[in-house]
Amino acid sequence: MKLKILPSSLREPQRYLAIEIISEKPLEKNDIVSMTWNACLRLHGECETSKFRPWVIKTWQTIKEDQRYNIRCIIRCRRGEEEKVRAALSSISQYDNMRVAVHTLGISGTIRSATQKFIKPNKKK
Amino acid sequence: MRFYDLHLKGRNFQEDHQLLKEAQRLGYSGASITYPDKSYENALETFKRLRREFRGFEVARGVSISAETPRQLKRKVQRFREKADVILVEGGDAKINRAACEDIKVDILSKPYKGRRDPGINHILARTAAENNVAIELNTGDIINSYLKVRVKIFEYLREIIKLQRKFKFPIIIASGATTTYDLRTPRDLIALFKCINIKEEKIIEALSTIPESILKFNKERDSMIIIGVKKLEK
Repeated sequence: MKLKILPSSLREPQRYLAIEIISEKPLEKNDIVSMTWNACLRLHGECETSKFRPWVIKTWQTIKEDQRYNIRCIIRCRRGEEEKVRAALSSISQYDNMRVAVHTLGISGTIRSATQKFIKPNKKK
Repeated sequence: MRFYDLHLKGRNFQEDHQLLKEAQRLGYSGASITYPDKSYENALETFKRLRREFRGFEVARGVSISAETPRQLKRKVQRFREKADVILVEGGDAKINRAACEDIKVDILSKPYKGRRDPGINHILARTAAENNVAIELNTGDIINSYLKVRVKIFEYLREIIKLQRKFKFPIIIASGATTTYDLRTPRDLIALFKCINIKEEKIIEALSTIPESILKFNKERDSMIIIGVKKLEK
């Protein structure tokens, strides 16, 4: 039987990171998931990473500019740990034998505001 | 807040242009492209073109000096002081580290721990660096492009440098040493990264913005200074 969902007063508060990944080849969502986990584990270790609860929520379409591929996505983590996750993400330099750079565009409290503010800043409501 | 990156490695016009464009997009308001001392003379034309292209974004001419003996270093610094905006010395050798810290004409000592098994800075060098206002660079490229044991060692050395900084108060700057656009990070990301090794946020922001800004400003006024603290005023 599935457990009942926790009441909202007992749920952990969360933060959403809007990130942008620049790579030499197009990336899938799975790649982003493993990249985040590896980076967190490598920089902070298992003990610290257990506090983060990282989760890749949504990815957008890949955009090609010159020779680089640019993909934007939203990652969820626990409130209070977002700076550490950000540090781990910025320490990524390689994935699958290609150069990668991850930039955090911004941190927000909801998915909606993260999308509106950072992912699609030009689009009107 | 204005952020600066004083160590972008230049190669040719096209790649420098790309690097600067990316730096501008990531939220920096100024950068310096550094060329090695051997090819600096040929790069002067490139600097002129770059400066023309970037309006509202400060492009400084930097030279990275690598020398084998302290005497050679002194001669090279003397030669480039008038021509370049930022003088950066490639550290590593104990004697070079010392000579760079003692020279008031040097702006930045880069990677004093390179190829060594210690941070390359001790209390004596720290004191002279503070006296002569030589900034010690914390290189982010080293952290980003290494992993496991190597990265641990670099973190260890940076911690040691920060410990000395707390006592002797020499300037520190954070620079990327980037060769490609993949080495650049946003200033906010760098703040988060350096927070991991327990550096205070104000100190990191200072190392990214106020100190590089003051280096650039000081070097513009260097010509009119007779000695430190005495300035020629134009009528």
